[in-house]
Amino acid sequence: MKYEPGSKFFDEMFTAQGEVRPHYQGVLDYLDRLGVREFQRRHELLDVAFRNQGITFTVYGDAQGTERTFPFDPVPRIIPASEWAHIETGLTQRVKALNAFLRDIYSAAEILGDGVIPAELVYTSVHFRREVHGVMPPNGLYTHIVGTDLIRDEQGKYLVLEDNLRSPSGVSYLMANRQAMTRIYPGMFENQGVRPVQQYATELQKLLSSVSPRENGTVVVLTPGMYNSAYFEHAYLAQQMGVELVEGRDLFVDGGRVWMRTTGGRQQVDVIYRRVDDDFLDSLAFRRDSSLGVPGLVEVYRQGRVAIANAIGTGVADDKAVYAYVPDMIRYYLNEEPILHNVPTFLGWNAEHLEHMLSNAAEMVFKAVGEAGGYGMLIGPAATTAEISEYLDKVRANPREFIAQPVVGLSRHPTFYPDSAEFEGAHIDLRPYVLCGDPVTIVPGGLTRVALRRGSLVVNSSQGGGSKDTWVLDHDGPIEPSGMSQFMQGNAGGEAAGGQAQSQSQAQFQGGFGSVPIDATPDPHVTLSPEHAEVRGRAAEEAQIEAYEQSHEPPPATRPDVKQHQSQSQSQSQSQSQSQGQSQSGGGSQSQGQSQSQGTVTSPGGQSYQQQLEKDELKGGEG
Amino acid sequence: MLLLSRLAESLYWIGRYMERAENTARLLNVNYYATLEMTGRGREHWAPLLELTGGEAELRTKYGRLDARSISSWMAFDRDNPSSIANSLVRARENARGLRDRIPSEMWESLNRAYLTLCFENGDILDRDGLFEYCVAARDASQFFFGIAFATLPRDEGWSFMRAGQTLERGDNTLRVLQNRLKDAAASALRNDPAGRTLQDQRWVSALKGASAYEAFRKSVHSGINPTRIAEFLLLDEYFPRSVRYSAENLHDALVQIDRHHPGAHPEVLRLSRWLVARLQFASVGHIVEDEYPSIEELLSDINQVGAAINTAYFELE
Repeated sequence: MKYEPGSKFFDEMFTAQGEVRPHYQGVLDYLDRLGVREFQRRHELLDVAFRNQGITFTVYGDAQGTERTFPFDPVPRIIPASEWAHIETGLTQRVKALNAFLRDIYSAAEILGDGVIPAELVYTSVHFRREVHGVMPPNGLYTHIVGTDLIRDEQGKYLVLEDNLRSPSGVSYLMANRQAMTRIYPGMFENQGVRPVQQYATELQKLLSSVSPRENGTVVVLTPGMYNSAYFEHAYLAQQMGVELVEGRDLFVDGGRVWMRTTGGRQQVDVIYRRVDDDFLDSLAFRRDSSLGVPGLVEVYRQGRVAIANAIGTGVADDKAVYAYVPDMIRYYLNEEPILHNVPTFLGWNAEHLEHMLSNAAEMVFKAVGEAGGYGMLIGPAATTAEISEYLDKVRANPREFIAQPVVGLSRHPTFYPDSAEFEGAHIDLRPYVLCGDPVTIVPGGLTRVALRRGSLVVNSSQGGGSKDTWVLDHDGPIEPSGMSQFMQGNAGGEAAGGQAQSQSQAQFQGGFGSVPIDATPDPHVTLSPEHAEVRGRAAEEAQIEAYEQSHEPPPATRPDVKQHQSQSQSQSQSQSQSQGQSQSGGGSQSQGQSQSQGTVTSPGGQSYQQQLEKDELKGGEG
Repeated sequence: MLLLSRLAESLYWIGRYMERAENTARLLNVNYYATLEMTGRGREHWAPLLELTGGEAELRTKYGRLDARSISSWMAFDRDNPSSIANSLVRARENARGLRDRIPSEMWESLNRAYLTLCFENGDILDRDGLFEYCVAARDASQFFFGIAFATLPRDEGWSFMRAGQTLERGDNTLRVLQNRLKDAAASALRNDPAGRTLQDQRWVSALKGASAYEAFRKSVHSGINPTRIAEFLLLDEYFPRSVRYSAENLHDALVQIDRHHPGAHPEVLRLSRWLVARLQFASVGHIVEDEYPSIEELLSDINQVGAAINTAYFELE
């Protein structure tokens, strides 16, 4: 394979020395065997397949052909077992803390009373819903389905860019991508040990049924309608779960219960997996002009006669200013150290942070806290002086509404460009889908989005972003003597807040932020670089190699059951991520001062970044 | 298993629109090729077809003239014409999109492919002499769709609603074609010119072909092109699946199936459909064509009443 990994960013497939990472060896061999011409031919088949299946997202305000396929790159993104174990543990920890936080602030609000998070920040969030204060949802679950956006920085370290706690979308692409890949490149999967993903729908249904107020309750998926950008996904999930896909007009409230209209009269509804934002859910409780919801629904919900997933009011915890405090929530509720770190975040709300933000605006990314989908952002390095000063006026006028983060260079991945017929590096992120049942389950992998526009850091689908199939392997790669590292990392991932977790120190990200200390918790552990697998591998003894070989049977070719998902999938991902033009001085220029003095200013979180998924599913979503 | 009213309505309309696309495609194709071998002004040959589907005023405004080309464009792929083939497909697909979680993926995919290939055409296809292929593709799309439904759609209430829509549309269409044909034949008979008679025969053949009934008719009736026998065949034949009687019987069966899911809830629907079937079973072609008791207009109105009753009973909001 002809490919130039470059050295400025972390490359997923190759090391800085240009060697293929062990978990990519199999795919690399396959690509070399297949040849570019055949690879390209099949690539074209993929788009036809997506079109015919109607796996599209809706582009608003375009008269003809308003449905587009989501660009797809067939070079899979691969995550080895040990890395995945780390992500899985980190995400599980995070969603537990987030649910604890939501339970807390909608009841006793102890975390605010203890001064860990400023009460003002929570109560001024536009997504805080006093209408549901005091409501304890079934099983105490507020956010059932979470789509956390992860990125990797220049060192390959995974960082949380954003928690999507309202109605994260894109999971249908994940399943559709896998299905298309197994159809068109079956040979790529042979003997690779790829973990299947199609069980998502089953797991989701199990979770939704488990929160029903009645035995064997009726579950429905509530969509804004087929003109919504994510409609495909809503239909796909309903179909895969075998439950009804309903619109607001199909439901009504009577006698303190929610019903759907059927040809045989009314039928009671117990669980609503809603893909409609809080604001539009009930015109009696929230926006009066909404026709997408069900008038009276919130009252039934308060009475505990219907469950809503995700619960009303979860948006307060993915407010961008509150996001900064998630690491503190983890310490507060779980008494653990965060396994996955945030992008360092400066809060306009905090006077010292504000000062730093204002004086370093040209090097930072600004975001409005309540916005999603990349609206209300300023990308310092890409903006003109006039734009910056105009934006800063808004920040000064209403500092609570803004945060700022340093620009992070996302990791890159070899991606096929049909126009040049070559593999080139493109920036990617990752959105795993977390189902917060008991136990928490995460479908191996997630949606990998890729910035297809050359040089762009924007993985946003509206800006030339596409997606990739995401593989999680059941091993760490067959070539390198990785038996040892696999063991160690798997283990680390297995223990909450274990060694590896802590070793994700924030060291690399300190410094470079002027005089503002970034993290309150000193972390003495040494960072495991993303090359850890190889480092450890090189250190391994011959004996271990032998042990590895003996113990490592060729993994079965795991292919998802084709029947299970023979349907299309796709919704538009509304996820859009944003990122900005990075004039990079990114990781390289930030000094890696290890022993940063920990100041008194508490800035929660870790790194910065500039992406974000658009959560607003409702745009134009008149059913 | 109950069915959402909205989905029942969508399935019913998918049945109607797919059937309509197919019918329009047949009529257009037959007419287009019949006129190639005829002399005289295009308008004369095309006017009956246009009367059948309506929209003459809009067509005139848009194209400025009525000829083979403008009428073909209008009926085949013009999205401004609400009953064009392309628009029927668009609407069928839109309904299917609203319940794609509910119908088998294969059904959805066949319809979506038809949409992608047939709904974005323009006059170029006429320049390429591609109208025949276009109409054949539209007809095939519908048959393929119903074929997949036949093979994969569970025989629940949803199936019955789709069948009801399909058979109601079919009966309605055959009746309209016949009504139109008889009117034209009567007008021509008044003029009483011999050249007109050949033309009339040809148009009766076209009417049969438009219902895909020509071969079946020939096999069943050996007396040549006899307008009364043709009308009888299209109206009352017991075995031909596109006759009005056969369609009405199927419609009634579908409604009986629906009724089984909620017995006796909507007696009016069944009363009306049974009445329609009874009329068609007991009337002779003479009753209908000569005595006009029941007249074709009455039969059309009976069908519409069944449609309205279905709407009231099952689709309207509580």
